[in-house]
Amino acid sequence: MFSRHVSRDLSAYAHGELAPAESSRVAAHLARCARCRAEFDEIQEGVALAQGLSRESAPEFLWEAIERQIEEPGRAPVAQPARRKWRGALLWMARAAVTCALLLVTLGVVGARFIFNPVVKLKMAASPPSAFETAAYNLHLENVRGELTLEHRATTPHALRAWVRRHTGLEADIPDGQPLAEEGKHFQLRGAKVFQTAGIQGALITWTVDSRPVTLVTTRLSNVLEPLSTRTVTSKEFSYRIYGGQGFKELRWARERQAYFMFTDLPEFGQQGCLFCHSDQMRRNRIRAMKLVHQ
Amino acid sequence: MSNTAVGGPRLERGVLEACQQGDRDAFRALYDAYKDSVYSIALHFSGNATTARDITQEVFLRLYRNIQNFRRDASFDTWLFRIVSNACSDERRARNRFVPLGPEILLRAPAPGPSQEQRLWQAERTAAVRAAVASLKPKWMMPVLLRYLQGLSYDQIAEVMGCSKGAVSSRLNRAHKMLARKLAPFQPVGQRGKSYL
Repeated sequence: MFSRHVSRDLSAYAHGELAPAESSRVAAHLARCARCRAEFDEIQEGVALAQGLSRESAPEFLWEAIERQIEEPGRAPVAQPARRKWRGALLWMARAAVTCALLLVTLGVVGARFIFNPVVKLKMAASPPSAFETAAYNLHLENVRGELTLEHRATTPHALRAWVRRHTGLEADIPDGQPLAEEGKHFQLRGAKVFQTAGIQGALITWTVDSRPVTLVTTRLSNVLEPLSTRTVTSKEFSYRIYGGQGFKELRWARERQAYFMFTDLPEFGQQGCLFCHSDQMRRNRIRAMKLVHQ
Repeated sequence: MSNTAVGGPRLERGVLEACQQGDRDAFRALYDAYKDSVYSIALHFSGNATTARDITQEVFLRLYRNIQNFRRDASFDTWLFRIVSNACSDERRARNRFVPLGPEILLRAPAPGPSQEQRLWQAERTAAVRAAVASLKPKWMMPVLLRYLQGLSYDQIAEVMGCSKGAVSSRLNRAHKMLARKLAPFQPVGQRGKSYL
């Protein structure tokens, strides 16, 4: 005798919203149906995550705004769509001219500031990881466990870059020459592989910093759903994620139409892993001196 | 005590009646009791603090203008949250835009105690959950917000949304699965194999 699956009732069951007889029926079914059990596991994961939602406090000034609306009912409600205002052509041109002038001055000032006081803007990734990013993270975990199979064993950075370019058309942001061993940190280039997930092709390059694996994944910027900032005139913008369970960090940035995701357990936000890609001594000193602006 | 949701705000006896007679102080008490609930839903729905303030103001203005229509033998909470749900939908239609994936939702400063790395992880996880919820379709998102922010039962959610209890269960099923799949990296390593990417 087959009983029907209980998919439709699983959230209600998890929340205790079923009548006792229904709840017993679902429990009995779950005990013998692997498919519904797997679905229930997934729903329970979603329940646990949703329980992380928290209430926020309304701003104090809201009551005054509401009271004004109540006392002056003739005023337009707050939630009306914005009305477009037309400006005279002359006024628009005058403002455009002032804006251009200010922009030129600002570029001059900011450009000078960048030379003497470079800033790296660092902000938390705003959206959940995409399927590609999740796959990249899982590859890093394989790398950490020593289970990652590399398709190209690194001989020189030049050979590695050529291999990645030949197999993916992507550029591997790895400098020529031997990495410098400074401050007791030893860099060792290990190799690369190509992977594909959710229809997106990526290149993985890995090296170690004091024997600690660093995994760099790159793909075309157009494949990444959430926009990553490219280098601006004044600063380079990174976003990051912290995987607290494992202590891993992920830094994300964009350069020349490619997106980069670097995974590591190096301290702070893992920025020491970046030093491998910057063998020019002046740039490395600048990275160390850079101010991380956490947004 | 009025017929409010379990765990929800509590109103002093007579406040609703006084509001219906135009008592401004009573309406202020009503506002104080529900402002955080309304604002929280608006903020998670819109993903934007400015829009959430607009929605909250609109909700209480509608409440003020229509409170005489409330029948006191009904549930005030479900009546109020129906206004909230409609106001959120109206705002979405009026602006006709994608919900931003959370960058404007301001995070509270994490509590002291855990290490910096744990605090950062918690903040990241919280932001990711909010962004994932905000990316759900409204008909899946609203049951999540009503359940987890307000503690409404499935029957109450059904009344707010004008659908059946079975529909509420189905929508929450979809929402829970979407959250589990989108937020797989935030689950403990031992459970990661159970996600369905």
